[in-house]
Amino acid sequence: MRDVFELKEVSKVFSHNTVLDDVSLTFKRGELHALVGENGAGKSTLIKIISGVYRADRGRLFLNGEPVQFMNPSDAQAAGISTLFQEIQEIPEMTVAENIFLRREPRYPGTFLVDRKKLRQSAKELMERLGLKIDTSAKMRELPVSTRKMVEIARAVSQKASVVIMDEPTANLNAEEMQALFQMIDDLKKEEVTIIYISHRMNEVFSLADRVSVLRDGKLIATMPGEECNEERLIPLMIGRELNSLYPARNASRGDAVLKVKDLSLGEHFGNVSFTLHKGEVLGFAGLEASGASAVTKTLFGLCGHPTGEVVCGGRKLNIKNPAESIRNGIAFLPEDRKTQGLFLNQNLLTNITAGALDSLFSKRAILHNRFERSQSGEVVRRLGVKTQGLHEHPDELSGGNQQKVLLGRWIIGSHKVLILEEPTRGVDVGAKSEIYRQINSLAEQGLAIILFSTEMPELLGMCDRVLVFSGGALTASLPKEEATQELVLKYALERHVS
Amino acid sequence: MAVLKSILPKALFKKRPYIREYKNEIAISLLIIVVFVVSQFLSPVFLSADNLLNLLRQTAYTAIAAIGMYFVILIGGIDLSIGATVQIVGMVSIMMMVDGVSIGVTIAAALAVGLLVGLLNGIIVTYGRLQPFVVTLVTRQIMQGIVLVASGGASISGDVPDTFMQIGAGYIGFIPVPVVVMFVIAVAAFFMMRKTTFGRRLYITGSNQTAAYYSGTNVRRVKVLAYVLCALFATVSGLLSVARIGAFQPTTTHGGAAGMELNAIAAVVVGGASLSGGKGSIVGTLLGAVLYGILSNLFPLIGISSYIQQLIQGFIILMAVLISSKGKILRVLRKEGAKVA
Repeated sequence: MRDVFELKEVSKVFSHNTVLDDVSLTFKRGELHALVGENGAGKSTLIKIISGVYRADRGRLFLNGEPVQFMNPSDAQAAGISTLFQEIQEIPEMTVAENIFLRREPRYPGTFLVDRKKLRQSAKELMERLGLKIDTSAKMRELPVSTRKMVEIARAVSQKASVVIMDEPTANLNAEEMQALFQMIDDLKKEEVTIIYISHRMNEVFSLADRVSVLRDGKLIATMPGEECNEERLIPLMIGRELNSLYPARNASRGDAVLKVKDLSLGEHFGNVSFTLHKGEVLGFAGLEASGASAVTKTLFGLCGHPTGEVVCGGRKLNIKNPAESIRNGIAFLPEDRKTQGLFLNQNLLTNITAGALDSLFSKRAILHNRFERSQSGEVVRRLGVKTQGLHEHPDELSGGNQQKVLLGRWIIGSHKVLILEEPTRGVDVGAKSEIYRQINSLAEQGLAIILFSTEMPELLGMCDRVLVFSGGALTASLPKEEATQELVLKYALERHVS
Repeated sequence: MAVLKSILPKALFKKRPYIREYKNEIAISLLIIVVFVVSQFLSPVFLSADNLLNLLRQTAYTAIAAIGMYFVILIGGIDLSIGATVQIVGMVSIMMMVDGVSIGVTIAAALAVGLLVGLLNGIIVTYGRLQPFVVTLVTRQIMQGIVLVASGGASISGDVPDTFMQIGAGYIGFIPVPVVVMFVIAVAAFFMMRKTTFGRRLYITGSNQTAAYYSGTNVRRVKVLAYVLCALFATVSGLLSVARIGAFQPTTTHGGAAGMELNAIAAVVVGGASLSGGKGSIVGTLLGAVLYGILSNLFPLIGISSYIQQLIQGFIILMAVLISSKGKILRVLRKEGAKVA
């Protein structure tokens, strides 16, 4: 294998903060090279330099042995470097085909007019070649997130690049789509395309990577062959210290039943779901896209209108209508997207933390107890170990992990009975992850009943006392911790997926 | 006020982080002081007691409406109908006064009109999921239409009782009544934003609607109430200004009612609020109104024609909006420049 891309002594400084420090790396032709590291380790900066978004302050880049300098992303694209960014970049009002060929639409020869027929044709051919069943004439906004992501991947792949950068490509994808992605990756490698792959999901890295490079605090710590990697070896390198176990033990004993759900149904989304949640229990919700797992949690919190069936919480029959009502009844909810659904980015931490208990805890006849707010939110920040200058800071000044802690802090205060967590560790680095797991345990130990919805299987298996598996809108299995394995969960998750 | 922010030493913020929360207010206060000092040299009349009281009175009308506008801008909306609200309230109250209705009933009727307007604006925007800009532009047009039809386009005047006139033209001690009303309203609004759950809900709804809903806020109610407050404050401002003149003119509009919404928006935005919501303060809004009032007062004194004033006002709003977008445009320009270079 020859080197296709090389970085030599690359450094990048953002306002006195060195985010990349003298990194030298080579990427070989046709290899999948995984970059791993905690958030803030420098992975994103590195790929942004490779893809021309940033320019390195020091150091040089070589493409096929020639020195190159990218002034902007289109330079890098022209040189054969295609990037799949973490955030979806599509234009929602355009069709799938138009998005795939954005800014490189086929033209009528000799004119600037777009050849729509050819555009549609090429998009269809591409989908067939990649084995994707996506309607190329559908508008992007009509498609679910995971499908949009696949379109994005198809676009990156279709650019005939010699280097494809993938930043967290599997976030939001369901199992089927992941298989399709991995198939595409295989095909790309056969065509001698180099893939630079970033993922927080260690299992993916282990099974896909030819080589793995670990970054920490902007420095390259190690590069090793993929087959020599395992969690015990990588995680200490990533965090620079030993991590006893990612999933700490819990001393919670299962108490009385808190939440009894009987025959809960919501239109075509799910039907006849029944389960009981106990004090001190962490109950996992597993399922693929549209399985109903996430819809059930959202419904319980009052986000999906009126379901049929019976929900009893703390001995009271609930009339589910909106989040305010659910919070009053003791149900708290940590949404999956902290930036758009959780945080108030331009408000201070105090406001962010106390927002969920304004009526119940922090006011009397609508008058706020400012001092109590201050002491309580200060306490939460200390208890969760949020790294911050003080309560006056805004969440957008904090790292992802600390933002998530702030959001968790909102539901730690107050007398909730049930805490629903959706993807509590998405986009959070390993250190913050284990901190969040510890907090979940301590909450369970204090008697809170927790529902954990996650698409990360190891997280479900590591954290939950019981895992409920959903498929096609029905509850297909309830697996105790001792019995639950990845294979078994996946089997039940696919049970009603007739393809 | 980004320019001023950069003048304030950064170390000040580092040592006392809470100062950062008030940097807008500090910056405008400094600017007001500068204008005061400079104006002394520009016009000998400016600092006279008479002129300052007059300035405060002028400011009061804008400030009261601006505080109402602040709530709407805070939740990410806008209300372009407050000028028309002032007009319709003025017409109704003068009509009733001329007909010999008691002052109490007249004021109650005026407030009821304001309440209705606010409810309509709020409900259409919130439940119809429409652009506040479009909705309030339309309600403005409808109200102006009603005023023209009801008044026949003619001014209304007649025997207006002195006690009513006192509301607009009277003094408490040596301070004009509108100024006293302004202070009472500002203190109440300040208290509401600082100490009540509703004030907090306004902030969080403006900052992130979805997150506010997810943390138990009845977002729709909060939004409707913001429009109601805005219309009510405009009503108060309208009452104070119509009571000063004691007559109603549908076309030329007393107290600059036609441009009222822009004055109020300018005060709020100059005061540090962002048109995308979630940012700004009562004190900032008040200071914004004062700064705006000083400039409008000073211009004629130093011989700037009223035609040019409007031009300058327009630029002030433009500047404030640009600055409150956090210099996004400047950043884009710099990037483009870097590409060329």
